[in-house]
Amino acid sequence: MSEAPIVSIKNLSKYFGRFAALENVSLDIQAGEIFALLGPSGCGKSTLLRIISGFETPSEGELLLDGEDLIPLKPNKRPINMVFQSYAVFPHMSVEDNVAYGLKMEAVASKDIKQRVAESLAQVHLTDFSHRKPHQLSGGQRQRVALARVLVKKPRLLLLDEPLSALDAKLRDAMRLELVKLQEAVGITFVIVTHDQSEAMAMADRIAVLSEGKLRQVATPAELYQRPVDAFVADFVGTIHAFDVVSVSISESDINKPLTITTNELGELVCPPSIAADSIFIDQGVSQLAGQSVLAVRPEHIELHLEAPHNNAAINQSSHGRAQLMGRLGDIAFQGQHSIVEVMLDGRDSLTAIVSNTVAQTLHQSGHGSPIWASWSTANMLLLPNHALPA
Amino acid sequence: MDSYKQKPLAFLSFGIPSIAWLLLFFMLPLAIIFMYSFGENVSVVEVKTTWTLDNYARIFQPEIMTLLWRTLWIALLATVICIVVGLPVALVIATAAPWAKAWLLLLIMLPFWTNLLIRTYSLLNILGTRGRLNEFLGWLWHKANDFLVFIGAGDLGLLGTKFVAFKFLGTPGGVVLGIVYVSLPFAILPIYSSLERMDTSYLEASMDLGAGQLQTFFRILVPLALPGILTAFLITFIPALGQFLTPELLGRGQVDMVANVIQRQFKGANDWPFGSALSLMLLYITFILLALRAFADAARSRRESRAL
Ligand SMILES: Nc1ncnc2c1ncn2[C@@H]1O[C@H](COP(=O)(O)OP(=O)(O)OP(=O)(O)O)[C@@H](O)[C@H]1O
Ligand SMILES: [Mg+2]
Repeated sequence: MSEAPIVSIKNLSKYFGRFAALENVSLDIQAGEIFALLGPSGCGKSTLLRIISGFETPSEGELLLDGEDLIPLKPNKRPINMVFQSYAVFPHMSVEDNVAYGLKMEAVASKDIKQRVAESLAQVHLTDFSHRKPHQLSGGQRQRVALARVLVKKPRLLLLDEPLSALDAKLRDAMRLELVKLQEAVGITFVIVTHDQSEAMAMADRIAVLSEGKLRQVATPAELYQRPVDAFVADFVGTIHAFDVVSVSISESDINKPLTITTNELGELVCPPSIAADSIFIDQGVSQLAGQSVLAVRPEHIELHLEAPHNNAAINQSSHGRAQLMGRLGDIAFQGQHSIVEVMLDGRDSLTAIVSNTVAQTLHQSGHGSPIWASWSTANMLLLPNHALPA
Repeated sequence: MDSYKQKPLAFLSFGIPSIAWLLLFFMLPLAIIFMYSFGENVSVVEVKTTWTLDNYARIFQPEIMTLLWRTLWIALLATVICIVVGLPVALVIATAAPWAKAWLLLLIMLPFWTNLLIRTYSLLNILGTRGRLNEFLGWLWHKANDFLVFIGAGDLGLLGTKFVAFKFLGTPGGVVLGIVYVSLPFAILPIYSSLERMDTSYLEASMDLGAGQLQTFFRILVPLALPGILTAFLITFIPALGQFLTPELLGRGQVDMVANVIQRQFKGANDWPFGSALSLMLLYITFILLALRAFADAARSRRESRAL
């Protein structure tokens, strides 16, 4: 991370009329990485990509490529290429002509064009299709044409807008791997837009999470999952079950001391301080925690028991270091390697837990609606701000 | 949808009126014209079908060939101008903001609400030697001349010593202008609809790959709009071939097109058989053009269905 970034975005905003599609976004993209822009529909991912490619101008802020201002450059003058969501493979040109188009525009000598086009088509395994027209190709093949067409230009930066969303599920999984391999082979920096967290997690070196035009977090997939900055990010990159925090007692003098956190459902819990998101200590005073933060657990950390794990079991009581809830057994969904079990609770949304198939089998025999106890270690929980952090 | 086939009575009760209409008012007159075209005048008011080919042979007389050639190039030139002018106009409308789009389309359609005859007469007023257009050109000439005097080049006589009015009426140029005026909306609309449906990401992809505006226009936009342009061509060219009113009024009898000569056969010349043969010839040309278009479409869809 110490190297100079290839792309540097500083305090970038984009307004459509009075609507802010992007607000004060700052991030760096490192050379050679796969960088994902992740966020729900309408959060501004495509807008950010279109600003980098030059089809939109930012309202405010800076955009640098290799330290130089990109904003005055027209799209056709930027050493950046884009794979469009619809692929936009020119329907009136053969595969070969599509791939050659960008080189012709650069006025590359025609014998070099021939060779580079052939290389590029080989790279995406389309050599045998070079004379076909786009309508004679499958969706996946058309995507490869779109890829070959930009790779042949050897851009500094390659932008991909939802590159896999038009493919069916099986092809999508195969293409994820293939795209990553291709990126490693060509060494070009990729920026991939997606609204699919599993896609971002599987492919990206680093991920930027956006929501409503604001940047929430930039981190590696593992960091994002284990140390999300807030409940939105935690929820977006995986399932969480969140409980509103009623009160927290924190030792102001020694931040390494355990926290005592109270929620209505779980009662009073003693938790290691490591579960708190960094932003809690940095941005929020302890006094603000109550009512504005949640205590969350992920399904894979929840254990299920048919007997109460603690003696005084009828009530939801949690003992030191463990949280516990009583509910009734809901649906069991077999997922292949594991099963997802629903625990129905009174007065709130049910929990889901991921358990092994053997455990699921035992639970199944006790029957739908039978009493069941969920418990988990407080060390596996997350203490997260509940809503957007103040900008 | 094809259950009507099981109920022929219902089918016929809906079908008969329109079939009868077509037979009575279209096929029957056409058949009469067809008979006439193989006929001879036996008296001033009577034509007898003798299956002679004379009327068709007369088409190959030099003066008729000249007439056909003139008709062809006037229609073709007008059509090409319509497309060259119509394409940018269609592009502007297709890329305008939604509210502006509705108004621009309305402006294009507006002339249809006025009678063609009245519009053509108003063109006479505009194109005449002392018409509005010449008035404006004269004004421009004086301004340009004043400017030349101002910069001290007045006595070089660069623009001639006095403004000479352009002669539009009675010239092929004026007729072409008139046909362009009448047909332009018909050319704009199909091109507009093909541009409107075009995915703008093709144009963006072209720019992204390094093409400038002009290259994107000629290499991507025009080829993708080609079906619309072809429709615009036919929809302008075919009626232009049969133009009667514009050459009659703007041509002042000096720029005849086929339709004017046909009209004269049925009236002044009283030569219905020859008029019929000429009319049918126009019809054949139209058929041939439409057939070519259909072949082109069929070839394209065959290419496309041969996918994979
Ligand atoms: N040209 C425009 N004019 C007005 N609003 C726009 C324009 N382009 C985008 N927006 C708005 O900006 C917001 C962000 O749009 P953007 O296309 O970047 O979303 P996205 O994150 O790519 O969403 P999706 O996943 O659905 O593609 C949306 O609310 C959209 O309506
Ligand atoms: Mg988008």
